[in-house]
Amino acid sequence: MRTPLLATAVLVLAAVSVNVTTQSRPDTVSGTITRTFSIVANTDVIGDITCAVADGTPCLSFAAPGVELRLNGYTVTGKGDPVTGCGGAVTTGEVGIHTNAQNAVVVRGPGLVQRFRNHGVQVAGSDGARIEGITVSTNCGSGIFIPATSFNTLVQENTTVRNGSSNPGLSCGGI
Amino acid sequence: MVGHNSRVRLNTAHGNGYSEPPDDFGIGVIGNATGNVVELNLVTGNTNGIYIAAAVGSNIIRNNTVIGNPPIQVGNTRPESRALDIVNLSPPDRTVFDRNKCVTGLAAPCPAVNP
Repeated sequence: MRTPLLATAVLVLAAVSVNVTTQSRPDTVSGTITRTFSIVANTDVIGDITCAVADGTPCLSFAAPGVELRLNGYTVTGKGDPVTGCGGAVTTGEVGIHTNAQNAVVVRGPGLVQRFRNHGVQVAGSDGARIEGITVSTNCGSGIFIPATSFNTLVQENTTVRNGSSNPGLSCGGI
Repeated sequence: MVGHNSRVRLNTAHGNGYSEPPDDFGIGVIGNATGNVVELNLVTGNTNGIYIAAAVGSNIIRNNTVIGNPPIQVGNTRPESRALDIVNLSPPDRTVFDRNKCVTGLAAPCPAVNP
């Protein structure tokens, strides 16, 4: 009787230990993504990312406040046409990085966000977000878009190139 | 940018926007955006450089270099396009402009291009 109890206690302690270890390290992401990657802790991009998520969904989306996504010089590529960025009309919701109403989140470069059939980065519903040092190119919308639901955003030292849409009534561009 | 109380600074914006319709931009202050500061940015070769829509609140545009919007061939071959370095459609005194460098502007001061 005593042995199973002891074994259970050891297993519980081990599980707690593993959990603590995991939370103390940043998450990582790279490669081909087939469903939206939720950012719940500080996250390092450790290789180029190809987004093959469902149409109309974001590639990377924050799911916790106060955390940081570091691109580390890598490229995040969507499903847009390499020349026009669009491949047709704007696809609602299909953004590269979405702050998803999380406050005080950070997207930090260097790194490239390109070819999304909507905005490259969308700061939506967030207070105190920071977008720093990234390049956004050939997105079918704005490179970095801050809608009316966001406040106190800092957009600093970024490069925006060849973003935009020919859709009538959709005024967009770099930032 | 439609958000509020944001600071957009030290960015570069090049070659953004489609020229038809000519309402795209390098940096846009659109919708009812209020309380934003756009400063120290380099904005060249876009459809419009900095575009301020009609319904925005009070915003500050200062110390930006906004030149070559749209590129010279677009400006010369399509003079009917209203694209400029700075397009300000907001009511008078709604937007504060200070020490920007630009060549062409609508309701925005473009005093000179200085070294």
